Amino acid sequence: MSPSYFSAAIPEPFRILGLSLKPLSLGRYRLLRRFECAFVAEEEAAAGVSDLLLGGVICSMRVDEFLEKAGAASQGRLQREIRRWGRRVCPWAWISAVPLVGKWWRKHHAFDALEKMALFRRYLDEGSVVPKYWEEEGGGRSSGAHWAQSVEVVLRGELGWTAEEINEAPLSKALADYFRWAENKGLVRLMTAEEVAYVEERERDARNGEQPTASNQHPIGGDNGA
Amino acid sequence: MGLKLIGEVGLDGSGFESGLKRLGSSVKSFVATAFGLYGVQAAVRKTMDLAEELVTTSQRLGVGVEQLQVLRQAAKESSTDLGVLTSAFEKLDIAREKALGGGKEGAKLLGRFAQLGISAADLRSQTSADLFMGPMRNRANAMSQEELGPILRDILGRSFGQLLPVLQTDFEELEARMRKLGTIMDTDTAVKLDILGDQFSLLASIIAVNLGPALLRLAELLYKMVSGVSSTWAAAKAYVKKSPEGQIHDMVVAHGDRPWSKEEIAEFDRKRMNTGAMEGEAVAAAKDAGLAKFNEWMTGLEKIKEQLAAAAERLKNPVKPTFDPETTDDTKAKKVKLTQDRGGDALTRVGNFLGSSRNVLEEIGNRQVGFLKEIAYNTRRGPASGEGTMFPPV
Repeated sequence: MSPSYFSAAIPEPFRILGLSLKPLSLGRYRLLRRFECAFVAEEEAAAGVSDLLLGGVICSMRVDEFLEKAGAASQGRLQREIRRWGRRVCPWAWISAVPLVGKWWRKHHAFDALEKMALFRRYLDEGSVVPKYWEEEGGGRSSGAHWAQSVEVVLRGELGWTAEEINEAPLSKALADYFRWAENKGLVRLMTAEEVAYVEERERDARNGEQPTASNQHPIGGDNGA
Repeated sequence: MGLKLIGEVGLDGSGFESGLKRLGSSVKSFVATAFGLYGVQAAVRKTMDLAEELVTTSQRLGVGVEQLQVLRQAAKESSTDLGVLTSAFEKLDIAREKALGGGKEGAKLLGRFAQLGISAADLRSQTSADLFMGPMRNRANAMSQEELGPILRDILGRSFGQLLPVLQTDFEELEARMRKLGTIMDTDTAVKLDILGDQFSLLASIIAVNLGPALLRLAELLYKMVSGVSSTWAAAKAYVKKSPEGQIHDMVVAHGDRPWSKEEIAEFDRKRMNTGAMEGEAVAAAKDAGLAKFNEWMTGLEKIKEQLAAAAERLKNPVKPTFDPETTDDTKAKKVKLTQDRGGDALTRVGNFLGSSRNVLEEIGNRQVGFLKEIAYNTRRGPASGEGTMFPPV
């Protein structure tokens, strides 16, 4: 079992703008997509501070908790909680708009939007690691369904995951389980640690514009390493 | 199982639909508004401030934007102020100039540089940051602090002690770590943000120019109103004091516990009798004066409101040209009018300025990106005798 499986199952905890983020899960990914958070857009999109804040709020709560709070009945409660969070992160934020003192205040109290957005991007990237695999013959059929739906259907229908696990279990673990199931079905073959190292080296070379050399030939040979 | 799955997946899609509709048009803007728009604005402005600082400092020191961020982080991790580092770079440039300038002092400094593994060719071709992060750092890790101290003092000045921990940083490892964490702002982004900041300042100036006069008038009126209320209050106080009622009040207060004499009682009665008539006249006069003042203020406020609305309306489309018909046959007047029309009215001119300056800023930005990238990736300044060489050959 590769060590990446364990980090997929128990991902590194993230803390952004004072919020402890829960692991990115299929449920939270769905919420991010549903509420149009630009960080998970599949087409080209520009993410702003509001996307970061929305992402932070969604990923710091359980899925059912967010849905309950975002509902009309407890909308005021959510608003109050977010306002309190805003005051904690940027106390007396109006001072930032005052000439002369504003710049000093921003230097000491405001957060750097770009830095936090990069951190949130990293949270998403690390939380949605797809295991490296070789596609086996006949496994390349495409479907019109969104990948999230395909993964959920397999996890619940074939692997017995519950709605709670879909909502809360780390997405990287969900993907690891999904690809393991696909391997059992003969659709893909997961790479060995040696193959992963080889592919990563090839990717690095491709980025640096180098040609493959004798030392970085595919360890198991054949065409499926291309 | 299949049915159960479909049911639950469908529920996930629609369960919060009604809540979302009630929540408003956008959850994103709901969250941003609840967080505080000042906080959001402050975050964006801070990023712009950082970009501006990075671009300015990198230009001043001749260090690439990305290299500067690595140096800044190294300084931060060593509890060293970035100011000490920038001042050291400036001293390094002075020492370099002296070393390449020849003479006794130059020869001594050249020797000091040689002790750090820096040749005259290196001095001519590498930036301060390259020298600092390359040969100086390598030698700092290979030499003892006793050996290194005097050399660095001659080159970097007395603050060299604070720089020793920075020099021992593994810059490559630090840069890799920062890139992994996504904390390095690339040159393009920094310059674009810097330009955006300039455009915001420009926009703020334009708004101030257009709304300024009306706002000033509003301030004047508010001042008048405050002064009016203050003088009315003073007059009312004086009235109370000087009116028969006020005089009676004063008499009673001054009298205290002392028994009243016959004359005093008679005087008291006389004043009391006069009170009603005098008070009625004074109140009516004060009412008229107050009403007139109030009407004056309201007219002023209405005018200012109109001015602000007109200015705001024109700001919506500042580049809209004006095409007033000619009303005169006088050639000279026509010429003057045409000259005025070429730039439009004041707002159009400001708008055109904004438009043209945006292009200029973008052009400057592109040049800056090129320049800073050149510093970062191609710091060689050409052969000793070549064109554009910064320092003379030794």
